[in-house]
Amino acid sequence: MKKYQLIGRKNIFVRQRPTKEVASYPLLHICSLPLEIILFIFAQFDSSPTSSDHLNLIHLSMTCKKFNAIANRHFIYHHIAFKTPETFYKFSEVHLAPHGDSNKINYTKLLEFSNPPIRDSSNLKIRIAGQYKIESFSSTSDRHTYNDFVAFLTQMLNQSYGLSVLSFTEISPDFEFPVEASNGNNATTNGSMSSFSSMWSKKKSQRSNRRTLKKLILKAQSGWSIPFKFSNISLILSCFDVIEELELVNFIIDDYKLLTASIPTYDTSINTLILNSCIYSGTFKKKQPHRKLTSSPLFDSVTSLMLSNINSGNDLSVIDFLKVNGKMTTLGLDMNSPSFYTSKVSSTVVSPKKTFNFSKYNGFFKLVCSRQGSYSNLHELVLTNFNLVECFDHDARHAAETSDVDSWIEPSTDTFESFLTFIGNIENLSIILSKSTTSSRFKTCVKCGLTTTSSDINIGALTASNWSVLLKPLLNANEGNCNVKVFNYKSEQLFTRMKLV
Amino acid sequence: MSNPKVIVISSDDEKFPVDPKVAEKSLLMKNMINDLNPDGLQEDFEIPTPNVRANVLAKVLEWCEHHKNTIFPDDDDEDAKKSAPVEEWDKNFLKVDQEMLYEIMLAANYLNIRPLLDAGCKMVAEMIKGKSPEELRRIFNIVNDFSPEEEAAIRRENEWAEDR
Repeated sequence: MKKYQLIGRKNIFVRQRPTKEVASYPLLHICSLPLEIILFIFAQFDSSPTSSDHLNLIHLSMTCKKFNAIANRHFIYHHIAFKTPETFYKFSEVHLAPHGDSNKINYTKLLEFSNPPIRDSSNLKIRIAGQYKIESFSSTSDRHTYNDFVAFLTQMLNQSYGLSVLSFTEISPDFEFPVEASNGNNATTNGSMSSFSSMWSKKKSQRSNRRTLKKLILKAQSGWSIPFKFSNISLILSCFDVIEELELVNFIIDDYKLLTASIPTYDTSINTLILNSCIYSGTFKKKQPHRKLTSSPLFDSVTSLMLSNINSGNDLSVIDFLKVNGKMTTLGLDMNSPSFYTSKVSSTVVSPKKTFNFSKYNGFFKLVCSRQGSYSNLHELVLTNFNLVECFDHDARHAAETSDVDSWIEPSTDTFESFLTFIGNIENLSIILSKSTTSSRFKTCVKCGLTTTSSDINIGALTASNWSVLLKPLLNANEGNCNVKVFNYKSEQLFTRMKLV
Repeated sequence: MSNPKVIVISSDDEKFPVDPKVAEKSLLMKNMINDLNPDGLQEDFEIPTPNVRANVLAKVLEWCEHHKNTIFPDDDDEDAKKSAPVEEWDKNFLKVDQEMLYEIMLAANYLNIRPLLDAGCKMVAEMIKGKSPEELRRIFNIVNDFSPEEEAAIRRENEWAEDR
């Protein structure tokens, strides 16, 4: 006979006998409203950690069993944010076994820690510019230590089976999780930490089911960029088998440090890496000129790389570091990044006009989309936050088509038209328009068929033939062998063209 | 001939003739009109609403009439909707007893009139705001079905959240 076991903590299925009769209400009573309407009412209160509205939800949850269940499941425990470690300790003592006896963590989908504690956070001083010392405030309470934080967090991650997004914000440069003692790297000699390490290695082997975390977000302290290291995520790697997305905000990706640090072998895979406002420090080749750049074990399984808010052209070199794993098939670029634009100051206009720097970046896009050499694995390019319409110069296109230039002069490739031709060489292209592209003005033109308006119209109103005019060089590139999709900022599809078979 | 009307029929068979523009504030009625009259309304069109009583339907249609030219924020923009305050006219319109308010909200939900449902929810939320559990029980006539032990346990469970 087959036995089926339900996944989860056994104590969540133990129901206590109701001590009071369940109240029955007339049809027109707040408690008799359908769940969807009750959810609408409760949703009027902002359950985010920065709002004081959550107290209203707590008070509602204390009125009756029905509201208690709804408020807990959909609001209070759905997104938990701990602004201080003390709140987390308080929570852990009540909700985490063996101290507490609660099933609420099963409702948690989004877990957020702000300013996570660091080891020996008292007495820590950081030097700025070698001169000024800043006291790093002790963030642990008198009763609890950093080790307690790690132990509670491990418990929390292992017990909350519904968790899909985990976020650490305001991370200090010294924040790290322990790394296994056996590797001798950053391990403590502390007894409790050794026992933690042994418990840690057992954890994964004990689990029969694979655990996936949809998104892990790490944000550095405001105003800082801090080096990313294995120990920033080691604990999370030990609790999950797959991390679908890892987003790093304001980190420094130093290839030398990542390649020379000893990283234990893990079978956790990170599928997508999102680097937001990150700096790439490509020092490996300078420090080890005779060694070939290899893949970091951390990013071995990354198939998609998304770069957002790119501040310098140099930061695009992180693509070279990531693609050496031989598995990267998708690249995403935030086209509104400052790096892609130049500011043209005009004597008549006060604020400088931002223009896309095609002369600098067309070569880059040509290489990335070439499907040749080390880019042969790259099949998909995703351009996000793109104000495509602003780049399109209708008159310039006609002028270029009709201009009478000598055939021996190479036409300029520093244009939007060339840009479209280059990106048309990739197999799959997705363009997600920026919010500012929601409505735009188009020129009525009998010649090319772009038949729109003298005033602003919604971008969604453009017809397929309008898009064909707008994207002509892209659609004609590479004999039409590019699957093109255009979306608005809400990810609603505006235009699609599948490649010609 | 005068313009064709939409005749909305309540559960107790009362008929309410309204302009199509008014009826189309309800997404349910708008879809019915468009699906069953693809070439536009040629004659009066009856829509039964078996879940809505006449006095509630009259209120709902009064709201639709008042807002027939109002453009509401995008349905997808939940944050904009949540932060937008209830209009003064809507506030006065929804100053009714609790039972009527719930009936209007149920009708708005059934007829798919999201802005009216949102306004109703905001009115209820206003009644909840800043009240203690005891006050909420009194205002909404909710029976406390917790035992003293359960109540104590809930207070203990939520302590972390109260001062987060």
